[in-house]
Amino acid sequence: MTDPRLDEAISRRRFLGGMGTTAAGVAAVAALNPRLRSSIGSLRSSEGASASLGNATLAFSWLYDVQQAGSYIAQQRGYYKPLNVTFLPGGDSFAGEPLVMEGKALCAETDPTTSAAANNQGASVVLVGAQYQTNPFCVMTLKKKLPLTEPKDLIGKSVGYGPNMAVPWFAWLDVNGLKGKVTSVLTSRDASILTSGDVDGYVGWVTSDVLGLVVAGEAVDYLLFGDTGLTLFDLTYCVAKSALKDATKRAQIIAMLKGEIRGWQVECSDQPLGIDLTMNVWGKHLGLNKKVQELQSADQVKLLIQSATTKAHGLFWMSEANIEKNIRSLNLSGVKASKSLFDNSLLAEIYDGKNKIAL
Amino acid sequence: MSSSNRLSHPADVANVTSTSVGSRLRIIARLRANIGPFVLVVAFLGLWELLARTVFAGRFLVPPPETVFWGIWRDRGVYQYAVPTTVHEAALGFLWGNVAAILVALLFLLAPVTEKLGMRLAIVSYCLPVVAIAPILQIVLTGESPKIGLATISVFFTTLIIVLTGLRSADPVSLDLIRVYGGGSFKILRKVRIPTALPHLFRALQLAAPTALLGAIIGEFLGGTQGLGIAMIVAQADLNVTLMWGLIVVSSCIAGLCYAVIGLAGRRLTRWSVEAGTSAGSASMGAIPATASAVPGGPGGAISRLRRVAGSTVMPVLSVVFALAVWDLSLKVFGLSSYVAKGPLDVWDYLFSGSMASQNRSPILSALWTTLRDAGFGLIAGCVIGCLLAFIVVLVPRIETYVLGWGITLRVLPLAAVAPLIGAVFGRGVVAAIIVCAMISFFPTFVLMVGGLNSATPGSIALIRSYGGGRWKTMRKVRIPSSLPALFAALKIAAPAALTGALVTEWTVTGNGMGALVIVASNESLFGQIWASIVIIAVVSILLFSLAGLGERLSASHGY
Repeated sequence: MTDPRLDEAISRRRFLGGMGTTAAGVAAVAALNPRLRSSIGSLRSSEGASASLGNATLAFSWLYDVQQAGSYIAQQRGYYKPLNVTFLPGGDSFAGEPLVMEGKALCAETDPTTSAAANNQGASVVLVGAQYQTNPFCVMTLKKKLPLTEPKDLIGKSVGYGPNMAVPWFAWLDVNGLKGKVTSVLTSRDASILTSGDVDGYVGWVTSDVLGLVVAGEAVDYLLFGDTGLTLFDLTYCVAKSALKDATKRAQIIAMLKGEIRGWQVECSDQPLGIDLTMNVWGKHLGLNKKVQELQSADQVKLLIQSATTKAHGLFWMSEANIEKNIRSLNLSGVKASKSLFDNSLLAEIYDGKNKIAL
Repeated sequence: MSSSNRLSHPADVANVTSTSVGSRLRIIARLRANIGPFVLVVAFLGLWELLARTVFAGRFLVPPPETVFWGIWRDRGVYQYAVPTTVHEAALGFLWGNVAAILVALLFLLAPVTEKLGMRLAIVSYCLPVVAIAPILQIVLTGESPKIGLATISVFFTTLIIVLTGLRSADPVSLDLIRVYGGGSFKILRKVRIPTALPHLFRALQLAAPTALLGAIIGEFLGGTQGLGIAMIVAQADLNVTLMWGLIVVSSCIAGLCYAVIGLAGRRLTRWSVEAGTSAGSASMGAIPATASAVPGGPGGAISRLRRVAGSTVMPVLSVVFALAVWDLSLKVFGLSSYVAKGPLDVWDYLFSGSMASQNRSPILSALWTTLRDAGFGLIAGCVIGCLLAFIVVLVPRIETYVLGWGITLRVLPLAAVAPLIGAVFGRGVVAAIIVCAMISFFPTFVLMVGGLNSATPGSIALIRSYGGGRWKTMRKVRIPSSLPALFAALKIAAPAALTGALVTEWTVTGNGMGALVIVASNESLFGQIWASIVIIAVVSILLFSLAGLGERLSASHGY
């Protein structure tokens, strides 16, 4: 936090922000134009780049919130060097595979289900690391209406799920022998369906949907899919297979992964830094709820990113055993997948037998 | 004064009292005119407050108004950045869409040959489902461009149609006059057509402003750095209803403000043509043309009849071929991989000739059924409400301002944001979808029907009056029959709009139908399904559009 580069970057942003408020409307719009902003971002990270690896885009699956905290740290501290990385924010119903395939991004955050499905549809992508060792999907209930301790508690109840959750949800029901015993209600992605009393349960993310309810003052029970028979990675680093065969692009991907690892290593030990960068720099104007972001930051590090595997081999590591479990879950979900979807060799090369890389 | 005159003349007394009472009455009248909307706003806020504190208390749905307004102030840091971003995207889309529409309208006017082909393509652009093409635009374009693109597409067609109507509505006498003096098409354009079309243009721009904003917001739903749509995603994820309602209020105010400013500018700038101005205000909106109704060639011999038959079959075929060629070519221009880009043949294969064709068709068809049900009921509801309100307004013209005010309010509401709230209040089922579709389709029906009902010739109205017929009789005998073309013209605009409403609601609320199908497909890279869905929705809306156009032509040619 005493890193001078960080202070400098923040003060430059403050300056920009100040300009936005005082300058005339047109100038303000120009100053806030995302394209211009990202070029300012590029300018910053190219400072001091010696033998440059050129430019590359990293596509996030979600907006600029704390889910990307490690990447913000990597950007601010120049951990991607000598690669010049530009971020591309995602949103609702965001799909990273086409962006990777069309060359709009070198790497995109995806999940194994969508990437396997994309390959079955003619794409050719590979997952080279898994930020979340287990997926954040869960089924949640309001404690006061339906206490939830095991899958069987849902028998005879109604559960809402968004279109994006359909594949894992039905696979989960199947794994837990609940097929036909729970009423599934297709809705949009909106946890207020629980508070409005339309359904007894809701399928969503442990980090966003559960926390949204918790911060709104509701006591929530939830079952993580990963703990109840459906293990899947999430926020996997997805690249085009062709990029791995191209020496330059492979070097770029390695530089990007190294930056991500170092950024997330710092985030795992210094979450306030990630919160600060989320609330005051990248997500400053999104209307984020700081309380939700703090809880999400703690949960994602504790529940999803760190595990026994990452303690032994390093962040994002995809062990043989976990890859097997993923393939089993995918096949249970009715999505054809094989081991060739995953490639842990870049991480093996980066870590070289250690479980951390030097900052 | 009058008292000193000792009432010498009775008429004087009447005069004097009437002026003093008159001026007082006028003040009261002015007060009353201004108090009406004020009372409405207060009643609206009161109802909102009451509902928020009773029915919706503790359900994270509807916060009371003061919470929302205080929230807007508290979150001003969000709005300060979200508003310029979204307005910037919408403004660029507004600019490109309208400039393109005006240029194409001029082209159609000066080279009528281009219209036959071009109009069908323009209709396709109107019928393309915004929700379905958004995922593809997002891949093809980057940064702000997908949002600008969606805003552009949203405004293009309506402006084209209205401006074309305006250019064609020039008084034939003035046209002849210029021709007699040896003026050519350009002179006619400059001296007569453009001046007559200006009020129409402003009307079109007025309607385009909220539409462009909605297009940009839908684009932002797919992702981005900042903006009103982005903040709406955050608000929904965090169950932050105060922010959500604040965003709805703010976007409605922006849209309403643009609507009002453009309307005012239009009235100022076209004051010289008062008649045209008032008629463009409502009446001539009813004259949205049946695109092929002006096919020249009266009763002729067998050859001309043959030519007409050939024209009516060849042109549609030609335009389909042309549309397919444009589609195929643009895929090549953007250089997309075969995994994302599916051309006409791929879609044909996917739906009909491929080995999986019937498995591919069945989810699409069942989703289409849901979407048609949602849009169909919504369209009927919207049209019935629109027509009823139009009847009432024509019978009691005093209330037009109020109805128009509410109509505009509904129009400027960002439906994509309101839909989830409607779903939360009315249940996440077909009712919510119908309400959203009705909200979308009611306004064009209302505006065009008022125009249509007023389009009865003054002569025939006077005739009925002279025989002692009242308002009802005029309505029944003259106004309703003469408004039939306007009803069909309204359907032409409202039917594709209702489909869009159904898709947006299915995406954001009900999670079924084509709206959800396309979004799930984009998640799972089912690009064959996405492209096939786009084609099917476009074909269905073009069919609906053509049916309404046929009705319009038939009703117009039967002398109504």
